[in-house]
Amino acid sequence: MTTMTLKRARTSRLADFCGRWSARELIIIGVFAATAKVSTVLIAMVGGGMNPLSLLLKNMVFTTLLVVMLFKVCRPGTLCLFVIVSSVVNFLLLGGNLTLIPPMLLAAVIAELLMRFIQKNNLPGAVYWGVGCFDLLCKFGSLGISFLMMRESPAMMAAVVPIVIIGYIGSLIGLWTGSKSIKELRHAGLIRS
Amino acid sequence: MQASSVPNLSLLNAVDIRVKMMITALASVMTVAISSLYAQCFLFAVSFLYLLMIRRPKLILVSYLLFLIMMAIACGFGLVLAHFLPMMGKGMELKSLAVPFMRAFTMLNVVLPLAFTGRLQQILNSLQKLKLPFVIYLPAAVIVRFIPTFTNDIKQIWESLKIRGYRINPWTMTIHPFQTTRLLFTPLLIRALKTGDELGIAAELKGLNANTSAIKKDPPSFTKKDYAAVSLTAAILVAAIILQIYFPNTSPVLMK
Repeated sequence: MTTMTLKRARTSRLADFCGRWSARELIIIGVFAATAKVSTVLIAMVGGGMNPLSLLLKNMVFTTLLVVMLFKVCRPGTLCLFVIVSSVVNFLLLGGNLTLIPPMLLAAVIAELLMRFIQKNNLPGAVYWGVGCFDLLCKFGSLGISFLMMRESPAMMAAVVPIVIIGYIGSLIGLWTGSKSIKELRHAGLIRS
Repeated sequence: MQASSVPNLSLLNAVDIRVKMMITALASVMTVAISSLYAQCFLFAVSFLYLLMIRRPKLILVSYLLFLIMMAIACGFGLVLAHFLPMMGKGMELKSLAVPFMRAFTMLNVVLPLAFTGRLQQILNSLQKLKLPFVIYLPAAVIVRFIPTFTNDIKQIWESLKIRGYRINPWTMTIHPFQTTRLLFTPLLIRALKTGDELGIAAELKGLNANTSAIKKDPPSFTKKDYAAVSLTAAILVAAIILQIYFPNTSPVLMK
């Protein structure tokens, strides 16, 4: 009897969590994840591979899209859902590395908690702080995974560290372009929050 | 995206997507955990045979070439650093580099078959088979279905820019990076917002919500081929673990 009650409580909690998002919001998350994927691949292709400028711009576009999406879908857990969905599709369709998923998910959870803390204390810029924190933690996570993969030759990290730093500079520029885009999109009536 | 155009020639098409996912997941864990050169060589050899089963030599060759270029760039950076910091140079010997290289190539060997042996519909079916909650299934299905549409949108944006006299290539990207990004990104962002709204309204009119079930039917059980693949994977992992135990830390840096 107790087990049944507990099971029901657990199921309803999961249903409550899943029921937060409407179909429209879920589709927006999917559309933005697809746009982020396509545009970053496009910039990488146009930039010609290891071009530092295209690395910077790729991260800038990704962060801008993330900021716009979080303003469009204002629900706690959206960032985590975006990361989960992108990882599943990356893994199935584009051959993403599975080892990068746990640090990304952890980064998303920490960023969500930070955004919630800022919102609760009525401080400004919760989305920007959250996305900035998410990007930073993601970069640290990917550096950690790179180190695990190359632990026998730590000198090889010399190639990875500048790439990650350039990427994070791009993300910081993306926060600024994200705020500019939000202003324009609010003016155009495409974002109301 | 590219997987949709794959002819059904590969033996791997007959293997369930869940098995292929399991192989990739186990390979990513094992490559990180194992540090023995012999065990890594063994995993690389077996995974290369697995990769050959996709029967796309051109794709394999191009992927390996791109990977080798990336590795060469990484080695170049490493050598420059080793020149200024001799302590770092210890890890730049060929034997030390072998293990990280093997890890990366093993991952490439298991990831390519997963990405290139499924049609678009098979990938959508596999998402259903995984019994994912609707909140994950719906956005994932949107991504899988709409990546080709977005690619087409980008082609149209590209053509409109050409008509207006803008040329988008690596050179313009390097000389005018922000202008190029703005020209490509702004129409794409507006298009994404519009598409999201239109699809969202269509989904709501169809009565889709978070309580809709993503699973239409019971996922089919594994076939003999799937069981054979799982057993073979388990045997390979056991062999790799035995090699790790009997020939541990063959890399010179780790021996110190």
